[in-house]
Amino acid sequence: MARWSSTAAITFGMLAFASASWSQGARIPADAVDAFHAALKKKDTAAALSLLDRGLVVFEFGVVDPTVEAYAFRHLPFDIDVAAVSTWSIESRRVGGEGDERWVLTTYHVTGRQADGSPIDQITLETMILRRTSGLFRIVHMHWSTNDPKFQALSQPSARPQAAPPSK
Amino acid sequence: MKAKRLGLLASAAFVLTLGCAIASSQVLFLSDAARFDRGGLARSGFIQVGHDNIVVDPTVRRYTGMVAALGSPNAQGKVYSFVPSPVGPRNFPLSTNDLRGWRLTVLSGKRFGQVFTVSTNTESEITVTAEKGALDGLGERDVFIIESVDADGVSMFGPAGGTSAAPSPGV
Repeated sequence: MARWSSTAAITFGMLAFASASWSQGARIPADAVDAFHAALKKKDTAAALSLLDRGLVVFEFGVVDPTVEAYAFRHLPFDIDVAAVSTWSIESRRVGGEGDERWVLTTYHVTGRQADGSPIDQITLETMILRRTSGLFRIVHMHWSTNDPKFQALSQPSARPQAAPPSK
Repeated sequence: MKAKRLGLLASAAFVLTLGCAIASSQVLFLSDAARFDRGGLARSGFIQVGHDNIVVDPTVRRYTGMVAALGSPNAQGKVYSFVPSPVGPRNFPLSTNDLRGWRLTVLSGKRFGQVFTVSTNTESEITVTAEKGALDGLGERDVFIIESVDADGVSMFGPAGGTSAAPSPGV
């Protein structure tokens, strides 16, 4: 009985430690990326935030969130909603970088259903740059794009006029 | 003489490499938000609205806002309430205890990423439970999101039966 109790205590302690560690970044860059997606799927806003560097900048389908606060306020809720109704299957992944700055390039096959019932079936490309602080990697830049031709056609006309360089 | 020339070449290569390294380290990198040229970013033509190509319904109800004022401290000097100012598309006029049991996550400031549970709310004030500590460090103008997710992470979206008789606030 005593042995069972101590085993249970140790197991609980390890789980608690693992949970705490998971929620504050990751020791392996790709793990931070996967943990971020897992947090979105679980609708765990705080866990997702804990995997983001405070200097985060997000480029997403031609738009930008220049600060982590802007992303958290404007887009994170939507990303949570998308994650809840879709499945992101990794098709390929490359990792690189060195020292405290690494990159993780992933292609996902994203499937699911949109609000109107139409299927989601596309390839999403993801670039993640991660920075290590206090021994843990957090995401400092995300960039997503898609191969969806309908979206490209929709987005390009509106993006093009504003994409002109500023006049001098 | 040949060795001396080789040494000079090696030194020149070292200086060149060092120069390149210093120059590249001066490139404005994404992680340095404080120095990020936000004005330039806006002028560059990037659109700061919109999202991707997938259209989905909200999976939880949400209320977003900014701290307009902190509440009065209790006898122990701890603050557990604040006056919200609705900000963004995800808010609605509050009625008493609309947000009771919902999860509050701070999205900026010193308490960035901290989670609380709403205990009660009135039309103009939100109070959190004591179980996750006081709101110490929360500042005016800090932004937050309150989601219909309970303390165990379970979504409280919609009634148990599945169908909703009336439109839910925050959708």
